[in-house]
Amino acid sequence: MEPDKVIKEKKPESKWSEWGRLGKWNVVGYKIIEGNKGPRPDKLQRARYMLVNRPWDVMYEHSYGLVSRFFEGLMEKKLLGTKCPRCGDVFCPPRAHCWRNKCKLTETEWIDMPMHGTLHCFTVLGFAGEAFLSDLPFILAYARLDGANTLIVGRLVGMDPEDVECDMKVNVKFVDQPTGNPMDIYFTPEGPPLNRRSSEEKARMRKQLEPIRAWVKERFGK
Amino acid sequence: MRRVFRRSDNLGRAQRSIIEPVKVMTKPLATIVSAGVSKFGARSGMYARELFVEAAQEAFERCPNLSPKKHIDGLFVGQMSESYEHQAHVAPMIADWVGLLPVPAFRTEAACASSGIAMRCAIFAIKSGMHDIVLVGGVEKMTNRPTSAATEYLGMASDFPFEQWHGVTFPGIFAMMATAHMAKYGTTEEQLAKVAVKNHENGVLNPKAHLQRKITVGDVLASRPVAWPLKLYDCSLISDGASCLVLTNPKLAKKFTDTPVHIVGSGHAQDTLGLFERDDITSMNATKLAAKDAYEMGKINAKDIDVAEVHDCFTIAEIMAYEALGFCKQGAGGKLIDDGVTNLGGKIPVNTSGGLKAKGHPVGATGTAQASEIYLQLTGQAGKRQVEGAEIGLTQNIGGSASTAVVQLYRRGD
Repeated sequence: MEPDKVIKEKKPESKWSEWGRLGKWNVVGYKIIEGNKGPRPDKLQRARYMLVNRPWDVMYEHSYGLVSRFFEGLMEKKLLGTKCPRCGDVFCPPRAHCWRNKCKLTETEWIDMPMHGTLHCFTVLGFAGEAFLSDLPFILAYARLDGANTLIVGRLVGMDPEDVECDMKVNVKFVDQPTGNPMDIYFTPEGPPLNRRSSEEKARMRKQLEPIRAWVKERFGK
Repeated sequence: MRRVFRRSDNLGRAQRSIIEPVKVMTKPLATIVSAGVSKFGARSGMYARELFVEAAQEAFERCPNLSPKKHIDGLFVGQMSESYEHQAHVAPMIADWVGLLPVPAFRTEAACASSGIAMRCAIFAIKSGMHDIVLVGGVEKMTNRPTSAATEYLGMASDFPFEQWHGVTFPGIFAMMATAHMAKYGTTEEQLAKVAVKNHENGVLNPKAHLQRKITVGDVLASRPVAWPLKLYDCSLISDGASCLVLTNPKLAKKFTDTPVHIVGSGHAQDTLGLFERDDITSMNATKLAAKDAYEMGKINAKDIDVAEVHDCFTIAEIMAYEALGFCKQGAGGKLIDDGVTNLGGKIPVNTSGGLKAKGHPVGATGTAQASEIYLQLTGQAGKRQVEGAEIGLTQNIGGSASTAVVQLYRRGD
């Protein structure tokens, strides 16, 4: 086996290597509590417990595998997919091998994908992992790009949540400075809302989302 | 057009070879002689291993003829993630803590179906004849990290990187199914809310449940959206807890109990990990296939089920489970909840324990906790939530976005 050869590299800034070490082994806080003990709710006993706080974080070097070209394409603002030369199924997100039993793991070929498709389903997130909390509420959607057999995930921007509906047409756009991340692409609506939802339903949805906006404003000041 | 894929040739063929040999199987696969569940909830201060001990204590106390150290010859533990507690390799530790060293033990992982899969392994062990009496359970200690971090860990069971990096949470994934189901079948937010209302009502009757509080449809609709159309009350709970069963070879069951519960059917199937590559995201294909296997194995129909525990990680999941398990036609799950068929006192009471929704969802513990509830129901030990005369039970445990599905059928022993 030949050793790996670096073709292109952007080293993370040194602060990111520090990140993995910062505070990793230190107990930085504690709490002693009295809590419950025992499996029988009618015969619970009290017990004294100690809890400690210990920050711990990691830095990954993730591999994009045989579909790495898709992510390189994102950096060049080119949207790629793959196609099975035997059955013609089109994958975006890409698969390196066909999914059909009868194609026996045939290697797929790279193709350019169209920048528009149909929204299959969506959600308006009101809670998320730590990194996404300040963006709430945001719309995530699965859309089928024209000609694809799979759906691709992306944020939908440029439309109020209450106007988003399944089956609407969407365009795919690139962020200004792509970094080889699936989030380099997002969706925008193509054309006006379908307006299948009644004005009462829209009002209800708007009201349901109000507390999220208030919470984000309070926590992140925006 | 809501079906976008065409991969039906992949599904079915693999299943057929599994189904045929088991058709002739009429004897029980394994028998439950005891069960135990820890109190579910935010169990601050406790270790996962201690929660498992609570569950094991109850199971051992319930079965006085069992001498654990002498009789138990295998241990199977379902646990989703070592990240909650920063502890991997939990099987030897749990074997030690429940006093069973040096019993062979291992951990199984299939996200929220981890202990459903552990049960399958226990059944394999007993069916093969290599083990006679085993302890099988699951545990998760989830509250060590803030909810946003727990959300991220759970999210690891979705596709990397396409779903995870967009911040697609599990509520988000099931919300996608919900909007698609609503668009295709006209399912409403009110119908979803009714699932939560029912399960909270049942949870009030279960002293082990994380939440014991009745709620109304209005409460659900007014609660904060977590991933619209799913609101806070549409979502199961992040809980700490453990559960376990003592399983034996059916021939040995009578030595330990007068009220055995036989596992008479067991099915397991997979679907795509990412939701974006699925044949139809409005139906749980893996559950359908697992149920078909289990029904054929147990020679049982959906109509025969007296009580069921299904995987209501989100309210939409319970509605889709009704459809996949054959309790109603595809698309009619919303109507089934409207008609009260699955209420306690209805024709097929579902999630009498309170379900993941009110009982709580310590993910690794859920599969065997569902089986524990069915064990209580079929042996008449379910207290205020007892389904009178229940003889046949079903559990459906799913992992991730229903990518793993385990369906088991139970029959009251003589």
